[in-house]
Amino acid sequence: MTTLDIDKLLNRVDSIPHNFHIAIKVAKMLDDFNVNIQELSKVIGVDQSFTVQLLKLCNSAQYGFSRKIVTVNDAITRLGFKTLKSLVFVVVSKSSFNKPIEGYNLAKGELWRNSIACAVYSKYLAEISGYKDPELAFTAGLLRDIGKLIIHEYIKEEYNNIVNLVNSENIGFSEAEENILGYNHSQVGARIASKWNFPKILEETIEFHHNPNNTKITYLDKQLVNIVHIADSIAMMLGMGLGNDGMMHNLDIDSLGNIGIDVNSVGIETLISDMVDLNTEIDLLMANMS
Amino acid sequence: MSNLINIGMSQIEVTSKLGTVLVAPSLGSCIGLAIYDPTSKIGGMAHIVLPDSEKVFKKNEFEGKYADTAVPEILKKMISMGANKNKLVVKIAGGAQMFTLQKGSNVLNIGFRNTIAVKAALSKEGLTLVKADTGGNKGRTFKLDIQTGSFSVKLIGQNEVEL
Repeated sequence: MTTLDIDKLLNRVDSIPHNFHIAIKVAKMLDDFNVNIQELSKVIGVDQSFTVQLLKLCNSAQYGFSRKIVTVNDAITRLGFKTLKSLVFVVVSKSSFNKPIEGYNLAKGELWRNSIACAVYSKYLAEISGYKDPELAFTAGLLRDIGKLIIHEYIKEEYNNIVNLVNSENIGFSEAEENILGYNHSQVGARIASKWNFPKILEETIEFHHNPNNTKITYLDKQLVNIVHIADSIAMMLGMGLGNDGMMHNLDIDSLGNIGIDVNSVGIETLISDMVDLNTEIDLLMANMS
Repeated sequence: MSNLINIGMSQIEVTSKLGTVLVAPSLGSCIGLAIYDPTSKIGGMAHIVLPDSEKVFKKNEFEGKYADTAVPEILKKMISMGANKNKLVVKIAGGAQMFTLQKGSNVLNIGFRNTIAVKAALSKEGLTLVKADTGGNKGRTFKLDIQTGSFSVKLIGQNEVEL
């Protein structure tokens, strides 16, 4: 059995991908009501390739501006802080997520597609359930599987043992990961998020996206955790970058009720039918990032 | 070199073009329905997402999205292209189930409901299902080779096998 030495592992991922620094800094600045737009555009504009990608995304069809956004300043004033913040995270996560994640049997592009799908679905669930900040839900959905980037090598080694435990003990894949390795991908993700100074609320959705209704946990934002949990499960059910673990994660039915979805076949099928219609938006986002 | 055509969610594709391989990639709870007429070498595939269009009232949707609308639609397309209804070989794959600890609730068992609904729609049209690889909790990719008429399934992390 490979027991994961979490500290050793975190030391190995010491080098935060450069762009994440920008995203976190920007996210923090945007959370501050007194943010100085000039200063903000200076922080964003410091990395040229980042700026180019961000502007390309801002100009993509789904935002439908007739006049092109050409400067960071322009993007801030026309898209608004919240949208800009979620797009900044899309740009920075691509380089980390858009690669093969062997341990979970995800070919290049699959985790990226899965993460974008989870982001779009989370935002949609936030909107229909009256959650206060759908853009935050987007970012939380986008980043929830960041731990997979780090522990997939260990999963590769122990995959058969984990699956055997799922079947013999009737537990979800995440719990089986924890039993075999000592940590699951959500806990590792949260440790990384903390190390990289992600906002606390994102650390929480990363940590509990497979464990949304545990009575022993005091959640900062339980609704958001429930939203990301459902978005994650439906992205998996629909095969959006499924991997070898996707459908073995426990789906907590209470999460549906908690965000106001009717827990009966009509309620669920209507929800899935509506979410499938978002797939063109997912394809468009991905196309605009290629 | 064969020409792979990916059939996305809710899509139906029918072709007689030799060298074409129809692929329903990454099926979770969705069902890939593949039909082939070995005489005319006409084949079709649908990527079905949900069991029942009646429950979800929406206009202007793709027929391929629901089992009850996808089956008659693919059949209609194949017959209009010249396929012989009596010769059709029908196979399905997919319908996996998301794991849940709350066994009492079957409402999320979309994969199973899809499988039942596709089978019912096929028998309503008088079509015999020759083979099915459904259920479980792993994703699948399903292929139909128009030239050879061979059907194959690949479970994630495993080798492709003939169905």
